[in-house]
Amino acid sequence: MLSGLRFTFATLLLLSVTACVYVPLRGRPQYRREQYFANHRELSPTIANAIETGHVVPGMDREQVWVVVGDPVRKSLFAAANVEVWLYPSVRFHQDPAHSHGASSFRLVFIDGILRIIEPI
Amino acid sequence: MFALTVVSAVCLAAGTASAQTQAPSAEWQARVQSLEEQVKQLKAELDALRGQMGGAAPAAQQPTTVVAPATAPAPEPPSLGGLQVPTAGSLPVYGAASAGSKIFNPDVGMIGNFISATEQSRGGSESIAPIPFATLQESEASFQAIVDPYARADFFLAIGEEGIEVEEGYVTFPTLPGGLLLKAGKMRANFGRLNAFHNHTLPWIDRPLAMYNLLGGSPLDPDTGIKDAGVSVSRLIPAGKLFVEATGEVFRGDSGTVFKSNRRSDFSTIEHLRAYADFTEETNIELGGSYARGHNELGSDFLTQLYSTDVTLRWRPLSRAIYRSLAARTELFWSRREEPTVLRRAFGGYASMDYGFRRRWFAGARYDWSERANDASIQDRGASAVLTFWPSEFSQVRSQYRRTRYGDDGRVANELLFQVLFTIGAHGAHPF
Repeated sequence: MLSGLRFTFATLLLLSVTACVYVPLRGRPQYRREQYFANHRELSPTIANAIETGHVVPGMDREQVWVVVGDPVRKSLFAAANVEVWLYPSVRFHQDPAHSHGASSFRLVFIDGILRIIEPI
Repeated sequence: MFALTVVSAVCLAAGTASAQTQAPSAEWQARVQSLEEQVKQLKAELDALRGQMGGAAPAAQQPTTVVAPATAPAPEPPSLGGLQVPTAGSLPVYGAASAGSKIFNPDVGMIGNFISATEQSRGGSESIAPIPFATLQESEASFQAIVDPYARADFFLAIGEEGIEVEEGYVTFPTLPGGLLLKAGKMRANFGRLNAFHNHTLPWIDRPLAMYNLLGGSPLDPDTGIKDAGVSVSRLIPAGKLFVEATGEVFRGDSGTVFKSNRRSDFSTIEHLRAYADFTEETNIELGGSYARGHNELGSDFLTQLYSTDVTLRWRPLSRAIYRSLAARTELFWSRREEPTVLRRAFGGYASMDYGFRRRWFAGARYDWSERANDASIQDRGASAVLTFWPSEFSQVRSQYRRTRYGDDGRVANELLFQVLFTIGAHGAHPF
């Protein structure tokens, strides 16, 4: 068992690791958002507003979801039904806090390339 | 006299008409030109402001002869290692005003949780909090914002009838090297399946008996469970078709009636392993195992250890996803509590099922069974039936019939609980 001093040192060392973090441009939602808007002028108001405010809503395509929340941690393909399931850590979301707070992951289901289900798990 | 007046009037009118047809004086011309320049300048400033807000220059719809002046060319975006970095002026048009107006403000939300109970609770027990006739139980205020590209902060204040406390307040670093995710602050522990959930996110009005009896918490605290200040580190582990997440947490060691810290070295630790897999596009399963260790209220020489395992099965047909869904879950807890003369072992668990049978309507049932942490000979049992209606994602109405048999004196309590949940404020994340 670590002593209190060692624990404090380990915690400070772990927190200082944050100084070594580098987030590439592609990993920043604002950059992705601006690049997407620059290349896609015609968007429905619902989708455009959702992307602008950082929401993921049913009806988005895969690219639009990627613009908002980035790459998923896992993709599952179900070719027979043309279904794709993406998993994300919940830290990238805060949708529907009345029902999803505490969920560690979010499950997004695409049917024919369009997001149909957003499910906290 | 009359003739003279008429002649004077004619001459005056002729002189006026003559003045109107004369070319304007240089002074008037200068004044008009000055006004035109001022209008041009104001229009240019307006266009520049709209450009900063992301608005395109409006089309000239007014019948005016003023020509929109050429604006200054947009500055070259700074380069970063050869990549072009978009400037703030190139923000898109849609909704930019609303996003920009709160750029320095966190997302603020409020969740109200009103609960009412009828019939006789028979007083509950010393470890299971009884629900009064009516209470605004632990309304929750949330404040969330992105700190910078490397961190986000979340605060949740629990506002109850007894006062206000910080339910959770932590900073999250999601972009650490090695795929680590670090949280630091006060938070609900990632122990088991339900401990991390707040009361208003549960599919029932109350918590299972095992959480009260074995995971502790003050009898006056409706949001029971392990919650403490500390550090949490988690990482996703590649495992083929499985989605595996491992979490390690170190807390101060003060959490309700479960853990008590008498000195700095009496911290508690929690480890959690979770695996998720999709059977089909409609069915998935999640397995979890947890271990918690800390010192209890008897002193620094006495430990309490908790074990947990959980299974959750979900089914949602894609063709009727908003009309049908099923979630079945079970969780088991084991407690080992050291005392001066004895090692007390206790066991508890629950099993539940929730079925969405119509759009916005859900029915559920739960069975509870749990021993007491400090006396395993006392066993509490309960069964509940739940009916939930979601008018929208912002509100929820629920009723629950709960029958509980308390093991200390054999009392049987039949209660009807009623809950109204309502949410206001922001509910979206703003990733940086």
